[in-house]
Amino acid sequence: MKHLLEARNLSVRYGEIAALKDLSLRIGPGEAVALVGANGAGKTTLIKAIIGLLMVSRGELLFDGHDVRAVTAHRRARLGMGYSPEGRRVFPGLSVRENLEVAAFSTGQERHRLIDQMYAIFPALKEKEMALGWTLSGGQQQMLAVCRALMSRPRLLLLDEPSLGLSPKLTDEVLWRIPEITKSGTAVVLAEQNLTKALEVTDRAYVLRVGSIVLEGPSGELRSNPSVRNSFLGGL
Amino acid sequence: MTQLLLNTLSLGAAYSLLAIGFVLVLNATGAVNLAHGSFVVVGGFLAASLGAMLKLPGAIVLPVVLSGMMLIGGLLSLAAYYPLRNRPAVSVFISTISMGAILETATLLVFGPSPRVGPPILSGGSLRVGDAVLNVQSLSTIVLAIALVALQYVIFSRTVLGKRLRAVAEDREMATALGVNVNVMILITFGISAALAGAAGLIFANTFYITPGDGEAYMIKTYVAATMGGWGSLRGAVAGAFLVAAFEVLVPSLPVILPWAVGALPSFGALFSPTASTIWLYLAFLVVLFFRPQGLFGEAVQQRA
Repeated sequence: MKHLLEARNLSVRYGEIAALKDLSLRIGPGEAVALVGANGAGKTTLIKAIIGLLMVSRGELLFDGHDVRAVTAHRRARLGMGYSPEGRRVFPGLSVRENLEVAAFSTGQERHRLIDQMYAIFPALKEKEMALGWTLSGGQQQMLAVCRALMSRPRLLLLDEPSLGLSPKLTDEVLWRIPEITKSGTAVVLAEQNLTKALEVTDRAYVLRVGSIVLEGPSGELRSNPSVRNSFLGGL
Repeated sequence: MTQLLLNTLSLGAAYSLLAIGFVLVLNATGAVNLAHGSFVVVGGFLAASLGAMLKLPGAIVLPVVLSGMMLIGGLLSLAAYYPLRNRPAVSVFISTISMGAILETATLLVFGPSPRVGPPILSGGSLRVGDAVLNVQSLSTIVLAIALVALQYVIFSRTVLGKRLRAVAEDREMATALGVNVNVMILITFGISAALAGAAGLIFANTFYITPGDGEAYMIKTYVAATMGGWGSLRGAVAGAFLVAAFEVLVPSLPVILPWAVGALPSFGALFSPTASTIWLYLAFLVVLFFRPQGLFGEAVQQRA
């Protein structure tokens, strides 16, 4: 199978501190992959390095077989990466509809069609269409951030902690869209602290611990693997 | 009295063009563009020389001034902002001061030091409405400013480009990660900002006159308007612009409005001369800064939850 995204011996540093060390992973088209691990394990760093907000200091990063290390974030987005960041970061002074519009790079009609498609996924957003971003509840902001990332019709969707601050019910509502998204051919990388749920909605998972991958495998197998749980508690 | 009010409104309208442009760049870059006053000079001289050459009114010359200024604003962002975009704001502070000096000195070299008078927007003279005599330039200034502010509003609220410009101003990193070319957006913002200031230059070149050294005075008034109104707020910038205009027009007119006070206070006339009005403006500015450091109008957008 041809890989959509491949990281080879990737390292990322914050000044003197190594945030990711020698990390390798592969993601195929339409695959849902979880990045799990405790706070500070490097999940957000990895996602930011993939979208291009952080520089790779060593190793390779291939998207669609092309090295994207020197490609700026906005070009990576245009190449087919969608990004829903930790903390949602919806544009506070833009309405729900405007938040979606700015992220679509297709023609007017196609943009309308995509927005309607997003409203079909999360009807709550349609009701709030004209409301400014900052007035939304946390759950609505999260839905908006995910939809905004989908507006460019990405082949790779990066979801960073979409359950943060959400009720279990809302978390389910957001995470259970992932199988739908992958069905349309879009691969998903899900960084999650909520281990059980992350493993439920993905095909494979990588377990991170202090900047390295310590375990990988099919999500179903990792669910019953006791050392996965231990790695969250600082064991392993 | 009607003419005084009209003068205040037209001056405020012209200052609004300046203040809005200044705040647009401030919001997009987080940096203060201290070359903004020099845009007025360049726009004013552009309008004055085009008007003298073509013998056409300002309204006809305006599109040329707007496009020329857009180009100059874009170039300024490439020279003074783009190379320093990842440096502390103070670097841009200094680079835009330098660019302002370069723009004004270039104007001096090209056009010479003598003051120029630009073409009126429509025509000179005045209009009689009932028993009031209204200055045509003042009236057309108000109409032009409203039209340009409306155009700016439509661009920023109705077009995808404008929405992206706002998105960049709100969260630059997020906009980049969504595929928006932030550097191009900032270049366009500088262009729009310079075009608005250039239009103000076209107006001032006729209402007053323009000399190459005028940039500083316009810069300070813009800065005061933006700060008084509320740093980063467009509505505040407009309010601040009208406040500055009110001080400039109404304070020197107080002896006319209140003739009895002239007799009551021996030095009343001197206290409210046009020169002294500057003192009153800055005193008011200090009072506002002291009691409301965030400006008279709060942020239009609150922090995200």
